[in-house]
Amino acid sequence: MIPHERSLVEKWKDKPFVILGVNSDGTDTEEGLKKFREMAKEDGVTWRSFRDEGSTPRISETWRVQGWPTLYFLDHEGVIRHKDLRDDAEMEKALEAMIVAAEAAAKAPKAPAKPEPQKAGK
Amino acid sequence: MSRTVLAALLLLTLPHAALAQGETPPSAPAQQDPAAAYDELVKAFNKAVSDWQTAAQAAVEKAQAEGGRMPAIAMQPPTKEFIGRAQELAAEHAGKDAAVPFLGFILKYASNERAAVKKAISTLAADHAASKAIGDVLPFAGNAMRFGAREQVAALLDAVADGHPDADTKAQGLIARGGMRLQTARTDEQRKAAEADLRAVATTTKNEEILAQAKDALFEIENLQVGCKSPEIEGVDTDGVPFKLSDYRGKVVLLDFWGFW
Repeated sequence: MIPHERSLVEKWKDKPFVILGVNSDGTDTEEGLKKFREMAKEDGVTWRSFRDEGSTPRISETWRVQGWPTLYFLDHEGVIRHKDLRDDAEMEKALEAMIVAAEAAAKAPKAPAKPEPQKAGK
Repeated sequence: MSRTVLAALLLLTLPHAALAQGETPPSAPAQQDPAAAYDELVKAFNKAVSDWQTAAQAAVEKAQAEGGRMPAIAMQPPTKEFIGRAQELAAEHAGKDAAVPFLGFILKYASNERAAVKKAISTLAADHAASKAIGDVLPFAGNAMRFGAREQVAALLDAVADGHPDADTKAQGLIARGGMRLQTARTDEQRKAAEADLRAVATTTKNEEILAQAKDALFEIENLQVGCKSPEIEGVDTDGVPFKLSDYRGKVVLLDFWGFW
């Protein structure tokens, strides 16, 4: 998991792509935070993470997370495009397509200033 | 934190187990009032789980303090004796409403008593689907799925959701069936069937508590499916800096719920 994610961050460092974590290591406590920092350093985790336990209800609760890790793939408009792709190659392919779309949208001529947000799923 | 410790700690937070007090023998005399017998059973079970948790926690702490290996503690609560007792009591009241809570107890608390769970869910479907007591045990019907009783669960939930004479109980049946359908859905059609159940609750009951449950279950369907605009996250990062998911609009985001443990 983490080595692959590290490679994605490196590979797409100049692209409109980020990994955002929601970390459930108890980082709302000093002890949890200390352990988290040691491990993050050791494993080269450079991306930003929300503290899962730092919100009420927990972020993972709102997102109905049943098991860890759980992945959501969000496009440049914040729309969920995939859930729980696990295979490294499939993940990369899906993300690549989303990045292409994000770049295209950024370059699109005379795009309306504020596109209407897409309605929640039907 | 190692996975073993985490698993142990998760079990330490089992519901209803922390507040048990007092000594009560697990067996009670026959012909007791069924409600009192049920209370006694639950109380004795909670006490046993609480004792088991205390012992498990002490063993984990000792191992951590000594830096040794994790002890081979029992990773499942002491359920067998109590499931057996619940079966006896259900049999004693067979065919009557009074049996329902005991069958529900089996669904709720069984850890690996596969045969007992299958029998309990079958009995509920065959004898009690129209009982006014069935609503309280519906939330635990889904537990029987992991004991290979999928058909029996479906039979019970169909009977209640489609045919229970009481509107509130019928609505509870719809929630239970919608939840189960959503959990097992692999196709859009199945997801739609789950959604239809949960939406039907609003036209079935006016009970606010039940309506709120249905709304909560619909949140997942309305906000967390592929194609949905993702819910906003406003939180704090591991350096204590507040930020929002929407700060990253314009970028593709791989949102990863994770931990080192």
